[in-house]
Amino acid sequence: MAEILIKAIDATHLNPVKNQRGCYKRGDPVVIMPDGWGWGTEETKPPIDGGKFVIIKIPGVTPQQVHDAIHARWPGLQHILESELQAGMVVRRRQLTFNIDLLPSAVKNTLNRTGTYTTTWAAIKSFVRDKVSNTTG
Amino acid sequence: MADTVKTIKSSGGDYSSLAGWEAGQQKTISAGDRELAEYYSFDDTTFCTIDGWTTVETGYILVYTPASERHDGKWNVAKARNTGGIIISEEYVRLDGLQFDTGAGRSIIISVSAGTGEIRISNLFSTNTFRSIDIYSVGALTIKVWNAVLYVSGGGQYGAILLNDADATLYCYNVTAYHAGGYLAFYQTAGSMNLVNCLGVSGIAQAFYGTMASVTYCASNDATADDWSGAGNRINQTFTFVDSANGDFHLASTDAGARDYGVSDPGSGLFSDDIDGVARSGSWDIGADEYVAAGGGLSISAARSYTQAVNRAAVY
Repeated sequence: MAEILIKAIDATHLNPVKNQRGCYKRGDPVVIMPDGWGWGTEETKPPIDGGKFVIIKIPGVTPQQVHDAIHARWPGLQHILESELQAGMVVRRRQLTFNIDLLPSAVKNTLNRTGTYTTTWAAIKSFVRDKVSNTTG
Repeated sequence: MADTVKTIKSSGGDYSSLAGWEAGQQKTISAGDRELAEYYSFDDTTFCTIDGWTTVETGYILVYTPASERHDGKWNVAKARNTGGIIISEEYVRLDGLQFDTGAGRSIIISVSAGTGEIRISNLFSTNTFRSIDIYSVGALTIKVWNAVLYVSGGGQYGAILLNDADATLYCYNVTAYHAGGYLAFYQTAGSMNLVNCLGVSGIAQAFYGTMASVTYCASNDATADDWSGAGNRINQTFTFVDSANGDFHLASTDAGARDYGVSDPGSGLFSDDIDGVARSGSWDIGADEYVAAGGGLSISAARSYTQAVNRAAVY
């Protein structure tokens, strides 16, 4: 099983460039961890209680499989080329996001109330959107 | 005037990774306030980008380890450690007491910030096979690094630390840069690079390379430390470390290359101890470590109390 920490609310910045580049938005995945991860109190606080995250738990897939599907498209230190840095490449937050608002109401209610939801990769992947290509799945 | 302190632990903390902390705490920091991330002993495998905040000179981000969780000047798997790396894209950020082992990736990138600011990196241990610190595409930042071991254990790129930004000014005090992969140790391609009490080792005779603004009281294993005519530089030195083959760059008792050859207080009051928390005295040693005879040294760091650590963090 893999567990994905997802930002539940927008962070914003007055500078529009910084806002787009550096601020996590609702639905952005933050980290992917293995089953049973010892999440912190700020990470597990449900949105209804003022929490800023939700956690999607996905049995039947390994963190590596999720990593390959999602994390591989995150910018990472090892993925940044020397030439990109020299050219002043902007390191974006996340290329992929979860369309939380399109989830069924029952799921959204569960996430809001408990902060976690257990599902399958087949069920959730259609709610994953690539911000660059604007494609899902 | 308030500090917000959040703990980062493998379980039972406020957050379970630096990336989670950064995502949760991202905000505008008011002058006089500080946002503190307190790292505890576990392996944080996630990489973290610090971006999207507003920071000011007196309202900054500090990521640090309490004394009980801190490395002892060499890689320590029992202490707080980061194997993912950090990108700093904010103007006022301080890192204190962290250790990195980022494999084939960089440990710290300072990049994509636009304004003036000051980044401080202190008491750092970094090992990998690429580069420890990269500085690119920033505004008129001042970056201060002290008491740091930057160890590239093999392979790698040019520079254990690289300054490549015309707007930036870098000060390194008591930094040990050891490039075992056969490339440069201290590398400047643009910007103002100022080195004091720094120790450079390179396998290709280019421990210090670039157009340096100033190099004083530095030492190299080759003929480069005095290429910029500063005072007190020592070239073609043989350094004797405790166990360099295994990444321990504490000076051995028999060292005759760096011990007592530095200048005192190069940072004008910025720090007075070494990477282990050992008080420096007399003519400071060159590099991250201040040698002390048996009975001193590492035990001082271990004896620091939690309260002391918080106070220490308040200073930095």
